[in-house]
Amino acid sequence: MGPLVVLLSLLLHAEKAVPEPPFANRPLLYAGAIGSYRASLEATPTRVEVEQPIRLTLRVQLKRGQALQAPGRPDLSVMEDLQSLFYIETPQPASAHPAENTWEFYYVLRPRSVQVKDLPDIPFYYFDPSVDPNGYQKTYAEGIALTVTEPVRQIEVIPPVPLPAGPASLYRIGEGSTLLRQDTGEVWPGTFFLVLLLVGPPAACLVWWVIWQRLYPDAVRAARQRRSRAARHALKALRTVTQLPPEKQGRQVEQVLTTYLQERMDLTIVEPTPNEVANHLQRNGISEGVRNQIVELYRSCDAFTYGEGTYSAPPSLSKGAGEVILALENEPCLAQRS
Amino acid sequence: MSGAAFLILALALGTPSAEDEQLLAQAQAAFTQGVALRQRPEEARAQFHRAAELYHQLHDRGYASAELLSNEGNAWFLADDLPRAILAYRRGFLLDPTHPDLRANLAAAREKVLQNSPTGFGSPPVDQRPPWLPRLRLAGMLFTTFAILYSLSWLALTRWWMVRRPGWLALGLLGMSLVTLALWMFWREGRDVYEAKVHPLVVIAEDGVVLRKGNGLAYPARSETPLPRGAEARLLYRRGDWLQLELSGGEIGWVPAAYALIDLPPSDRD
Repeated sequence: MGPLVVLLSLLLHAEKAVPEPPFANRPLLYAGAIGSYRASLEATPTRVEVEQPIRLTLRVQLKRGQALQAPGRPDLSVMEDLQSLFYIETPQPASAHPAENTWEFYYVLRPRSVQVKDLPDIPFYYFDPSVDPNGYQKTYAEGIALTVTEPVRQIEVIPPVPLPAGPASLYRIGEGSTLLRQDTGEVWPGTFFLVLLLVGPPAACLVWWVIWQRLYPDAVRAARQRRSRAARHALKALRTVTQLPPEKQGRQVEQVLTTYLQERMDLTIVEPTPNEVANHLQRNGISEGVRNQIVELYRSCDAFTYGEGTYSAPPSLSKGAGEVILALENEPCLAQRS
Repeated sequence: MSGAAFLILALALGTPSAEDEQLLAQAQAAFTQGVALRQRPEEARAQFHRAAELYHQLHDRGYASAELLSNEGNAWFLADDLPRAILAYRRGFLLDPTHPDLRANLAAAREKVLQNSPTGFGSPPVDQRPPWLPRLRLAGMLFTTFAILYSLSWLALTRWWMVRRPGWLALGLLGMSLVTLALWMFWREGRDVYEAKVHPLVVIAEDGVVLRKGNGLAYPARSETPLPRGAEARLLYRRGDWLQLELSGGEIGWVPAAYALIDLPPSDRD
């Protein structure tokens, strides 16, 4: 209990030691500084556009002795002349105490117009009882020259719309006066020409065929014979006869001839005798000469197969059969059928 | 009057006049300038627009080649006028369906139209052609070639009839098969040309055009989704300032003529 009472009494004694600044004529800018001080200003930047911020620092330093009472932050907004030049704002933090006898007070000033050429001197008031116990002392923080410019017009920068993306061929163009054509996109000829084109070639081919028939009657006949399917098959079969063993060739030629007569002239007998063949040919209107030729061939085949008498060699047998078939195809009655 | 007579005479002779060649040179210079200014899109776009107008002017004077229309389409495309680009490409495509640049650039333009149509309404027509079937240009030389092949096929068949040699028959049938295939392809291409004449192409020129059920604003919309800019359709009928269209999807409706580009021959344009 004893030490606490001693401490309180000391504090009360100390408080009583600080002189009270007089109320009379107390300046509006006075902020509680007791002692002797000097002040200075610092502004950054010093070149600004209208209404752009300037950070102002009012630095106050104790000149001598002890600060009987720490200075407070002067309210610069009470300075009408300063108000007419600047908008005054309070930043955060608004003050600092960087050293034992130094105090800093911060302001943000925005010049109202380009007419502002400088920051005027700022008065700092303090109370120094050793100089005048009934009045206040004043020191000035020296003003700073400023350059205030017109605001740069804010232009909204719109990024340019890029060209449309596409294939590389988009940037390629045809050149030369050949571009200046008059294509129609249509090549269909007229109806008359189209019909002529469709009908012309077959008509020309028909004419060609007729002329060809007149000019090459043998070729026509051969073609007609080739058109007989039965004859074609028979002639083809006869060409293979020579590849058989000689004893089988006579039999094979006879079979080929019989098959031909069955297909071409409706011969129904499976293994006809020469006489039966002769009768059938006669009924079908085959001329006597050809008829005899065929009968003789049949006999030759029989003789060769069964070894009766001396007859032609096998190659001439198949050759003779071929000639007989061609002779039959030339017979008028068969030619009309084909 | 004498200038017009000279133009008609030049067109009749098929030789471009000096004035037209000068227009072409200006168009190409503007396009080239646009390409050079690619890094400055606004200036490039202005050059492409100028080139497009010059090419279009030549088309209006009666010139029609796939290359010219491809150039015009490219210029409109790069000038950000997609509908006019599509119209030019489609015109060129009718003249030469085998032109590779036309096909690629038309596809690129249609892709952009599709990007503006999330629902797919008014989407571009789909090519129904089998992919293996080559395109044919309806050019006189090709047609003549097939006419000669047709005649030779007949000759081969006739020769076969005369001599009955299978080789001639094979040649004749092969030729006729080729001719039949070619005729079918010609018919397909010719059908497109015919269709374009009977039902001209219409391209929607503005965004937000509503397809309506009748020829007036009082009629309800055919679809709540407006047609995208660049949508392609066929013209079915015209009544006053309204066009009856058929879209590629088969939807039929009306739009104001002021918001559409119609593929009419130069002589029929307003």
